[in-house]
Amino acid sequence: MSVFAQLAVNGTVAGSVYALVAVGFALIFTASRVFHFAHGGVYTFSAFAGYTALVTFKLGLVAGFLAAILVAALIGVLINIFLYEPMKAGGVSPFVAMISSFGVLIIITHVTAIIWGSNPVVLSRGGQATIYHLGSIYTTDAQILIIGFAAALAIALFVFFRYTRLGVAIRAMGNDSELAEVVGMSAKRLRNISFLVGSVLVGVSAMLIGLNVGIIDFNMGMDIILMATVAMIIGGLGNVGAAACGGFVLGMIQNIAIWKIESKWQLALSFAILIIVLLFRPSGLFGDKHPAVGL
Amino acid sequence: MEYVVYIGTLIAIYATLTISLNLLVGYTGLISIAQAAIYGVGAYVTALVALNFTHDLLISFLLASVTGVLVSLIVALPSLRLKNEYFLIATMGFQAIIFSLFMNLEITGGPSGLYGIPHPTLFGYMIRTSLEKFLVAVALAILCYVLAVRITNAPFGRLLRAVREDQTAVAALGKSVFTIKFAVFIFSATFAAAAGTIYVYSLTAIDPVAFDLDESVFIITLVIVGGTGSLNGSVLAAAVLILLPEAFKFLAIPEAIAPQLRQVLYGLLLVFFTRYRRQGLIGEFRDVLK
Amino acid sequence: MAVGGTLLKLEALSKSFGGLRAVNNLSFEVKAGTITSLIGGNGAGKTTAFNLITGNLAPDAGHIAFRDTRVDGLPPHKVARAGIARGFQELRLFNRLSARDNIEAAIPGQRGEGLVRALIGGRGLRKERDATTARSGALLRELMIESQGHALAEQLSYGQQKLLSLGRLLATEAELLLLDEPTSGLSPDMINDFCTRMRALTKVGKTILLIEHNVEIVMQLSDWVVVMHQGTMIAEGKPEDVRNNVTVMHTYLGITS
Repeated sequence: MSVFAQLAVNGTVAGSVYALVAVGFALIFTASRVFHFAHGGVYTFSAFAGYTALVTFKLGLVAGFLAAILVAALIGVLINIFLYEPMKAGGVSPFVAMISSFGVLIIITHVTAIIWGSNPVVLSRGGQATIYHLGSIYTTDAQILIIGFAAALAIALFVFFRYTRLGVAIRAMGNDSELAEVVGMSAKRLRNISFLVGSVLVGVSAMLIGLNVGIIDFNMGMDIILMATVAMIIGGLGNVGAAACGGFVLGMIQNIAIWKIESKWQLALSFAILIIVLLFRPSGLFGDKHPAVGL
Repeated sequence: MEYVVYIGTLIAIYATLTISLNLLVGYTGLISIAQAAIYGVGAYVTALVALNFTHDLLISFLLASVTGVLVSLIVALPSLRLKNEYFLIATMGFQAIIFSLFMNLEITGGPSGLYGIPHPTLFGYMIRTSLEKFLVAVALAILCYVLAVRITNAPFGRLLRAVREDQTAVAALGKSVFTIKFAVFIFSATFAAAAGTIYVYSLTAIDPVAFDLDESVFIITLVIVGGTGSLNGSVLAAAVLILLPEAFKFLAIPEAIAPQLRQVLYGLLLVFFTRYRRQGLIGEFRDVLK
Repeated sequence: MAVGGTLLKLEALSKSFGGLRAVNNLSFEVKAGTITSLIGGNGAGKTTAFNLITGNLAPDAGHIAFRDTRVDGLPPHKVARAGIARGFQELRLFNRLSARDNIEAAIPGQRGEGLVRALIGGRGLRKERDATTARSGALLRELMIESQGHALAEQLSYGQQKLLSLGRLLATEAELLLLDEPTSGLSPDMINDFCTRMRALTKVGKTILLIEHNVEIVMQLSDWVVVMHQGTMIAEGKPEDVRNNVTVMHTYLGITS
């Protein structure tokens, strides 16, 4: 039984991790209708930027986070300004933008490897991780921080989307980008803001997750963005909260599943769930109706 | 010389892969990133058959293609009713699952793959040297090209393009969109899997990493760079993108970063062509049926 | 089918979307060899009715019979093959294909459209190609857009595109043509040309059902008019009779002059 409990805790952590990344990804998707796979690249690069500040230059934890956030925000917004916006203006379908996003993801991933090498590096502020335990269930301070941050974020987003003008406008954009113009803000500005916020979120997440795992490598972004995609689809598109829930569910399933199947099948299981959801419940478990099926 | 033959074989394999995916992506508008998985299926089937039953070239092609087609249909059938981006994501899911099978099943040798695959035989003659294997690769590429040109010039090709333009209209004119897509999947998978056969016999070993998502993205990059809907472009793109990184060797790029730089180059090309030159290297898709 | 027989019959057709009843117990008939107009305000359910006929939507209730055979529930391409060709308001031309290709893609019975036959090739295909080219040439001439044969559909003027759309339908050799606002955006000359063509088509055995907002055309062209309102048929009859019908005047007040 305690095994199950430990798995549930691990699942909560993993779920929070996916939720954190999925939220930024979904926010961007809601605002611009593009699957911003390059988000994974932003994730990777910002983690390494944080590493440079924290470990290479020993500037401390705050500097590490700041570096990650600034770099993430910068890259994220620049990608939108120089790639997606011109494409949108040129009438190119978001689908082609998605493919180009893949290209950017590859570029950033491998530039990271060129700059910092292809071997994993240790991301830590030194010293031992503080371990807490309740009975025979273990967790670390980094993990608690992740869960805490995710929870706080969930509440903040709920309030944001329901009660703030900006949030409502972005949600409206998800349905009709002209609607947002009515609210009084330019669609383009809203998109840039979404990229900014989404990228900042992913920068923070990258640091938190990197610190939790202890090591980072240039492939981390590619791996996680695939999971974020699964999370977003499982949860339901067009809804940031749904994506977060999807992430949480995914993390739980992956960890509980270890109970019965070997961990090497985790990824395959996750994608199998993705496909099943796409086929049988394309609007996702929690999301609004979204036409993924049909002509 | 060995080296030239090796590069030549790679170009032939990728030309085949690109043409096979181009029919799906460029002509019909079905953007799949599962092609590497089908390629891998062809390779693994060939390897397992060669290690356990026979290494006859024709039988290998046959079994690899049939399995590749079956897997491709398993991917296609459920995914076909999804729209654009979601279809792509579904194929991404299948790619990941199939790759996971390559990496985790015992019979596929897990992460270390398979090795010691014997040379293929053709009507009793053993194809042993890399030059001979190169010729087989080229023969496959030529066959693929010729057949692709033939079917795209036929009314079938026009129907593919019509499906890409507007499926609803195609159905409204009495033609079954499902049958058309089904057919193009079969053609595409046959040649992707056959390319896998060549791969295995040329390298006599399989590394599962050769069939991951990156590889699928690379093949799509080739299609886009060559120009969706341009078969000549597909061949040209394969040649250019295989040869270009080789130029790195002459630029004194350190060994450690060469593979990374190659990937950066591919990423740049993908972004460049999708952003600035969607018609690819050769130019706007021409109406081949005059 | 002989002129005057019932070619298409809708019986108690219903279709809802969420809580909205788009088509509600709709029944009417289309007689062979006639031009029938389907009129009604926006949201009356006309396009939905078309979608139900062509199989793009499945009815919640009711039947559709074409030449006395049930066609409701069939997929669109089978409905088309049965002899019903449908034009779209948005045209839905194959934009990056040439005008000629648009027409040729609609010609039925081409063996070269099958993968196997296309792979094999051969003399049979060449003969088929010649026949196809002849047919598409004839249609292009008939529609007077022969000079645009090689141009991409998207490069044609709007009027030419509408003609091309009609050409595609004619190429299918379907007996019943469903046209959705075929005259919208056309100049008076083109409209006259259209009316002439419609009349000519009925003379060669075609039946036409059209959704049309232009009252004059409806009056001038139709043998029969079906009026829809809120998903159901509220009146039908000869154009003059419908025009004078009080119910129609009430619901149409403010919608047409």
